[in-house]
Amino acid sequence: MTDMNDEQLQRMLEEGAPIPPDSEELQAYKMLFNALQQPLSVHVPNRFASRVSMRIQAKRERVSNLRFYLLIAAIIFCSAAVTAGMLLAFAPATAVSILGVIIAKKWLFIFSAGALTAIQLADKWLLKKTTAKLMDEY
Amino acid sequence: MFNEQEDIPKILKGDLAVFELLVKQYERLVFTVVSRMLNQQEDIEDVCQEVFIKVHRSLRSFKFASKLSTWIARIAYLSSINYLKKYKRFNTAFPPEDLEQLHFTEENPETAALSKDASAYINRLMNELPAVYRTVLTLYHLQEFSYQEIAAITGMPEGTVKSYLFRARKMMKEKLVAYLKKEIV
Repeated sequence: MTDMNDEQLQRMLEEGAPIPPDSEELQAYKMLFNALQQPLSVHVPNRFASRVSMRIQAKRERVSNLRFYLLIAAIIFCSAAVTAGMLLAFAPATAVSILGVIIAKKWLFIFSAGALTAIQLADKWLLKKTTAKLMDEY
Repeated sequence: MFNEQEDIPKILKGDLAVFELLVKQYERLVFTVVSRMLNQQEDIEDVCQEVFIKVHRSLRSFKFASKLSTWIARIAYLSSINYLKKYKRFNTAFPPEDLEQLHFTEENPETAALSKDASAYINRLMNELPAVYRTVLTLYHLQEFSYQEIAAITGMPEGTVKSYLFRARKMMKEKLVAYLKKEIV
């Protein structure tokens, strides 16, 4: 059989058109088309939709928490900037002495900030791990 | 039953219960597309979850220009390809155009036992085809997408889709004829 004949046979089967008397080739094509139309045995896990929904919910909460922490950080930063500005404007001596304390204890401030960030990150990591485990069990 | 026009705006307003309806409506389609591309059940489930998370994230960009099923199938197809590329299982060294040069597993007692009927033999042939061919055949025959829709899903020109379908079926038919002759003898 030529390619043209294959093309015609395939088109006829696709269109469900009247087909010529059975040949070996046609028989094979019919068998092939029937097999290709058989539903695939796919395994959709139980509660798949709920699991997807839980993951989206968990992500939403993480984003919402992140926004909250960023807002808090922005408020603290702005308050510190405003306070520093006011001190510099109205009480420069006090501002200089506070700056001196900050510089003297800089490692304490840096360490505290680092520790707080590390605790937050560890908490987030544990929460993510626990949520994933819970979702697997669910 | 999920109604695209009525339910998508509800999802966009944050209704996760309605989104679950969408997942239930299209989970078989997504699992079918992804299963045709990947083999491990665990990988399949992970990718399917990612597909629906992407659907949820991108739903705002769905403009009803195509059927929702076509749009979701495209996300499933691209996610599977990305997954295969990420884990270097996507065979770029073997261009899908070279189908004629594809070597199928030789018949041996084990494979013969596995394909003791023609249908099992066809499934075995199907599983040995390159992923792109498997997907095109599945989308056309099983999911009944049109050539245009398959072109939209895979990003291939319509002519290429037709050519892939034709060549894959012709090659499988030739293998099947040889197999049936052997069976009769």
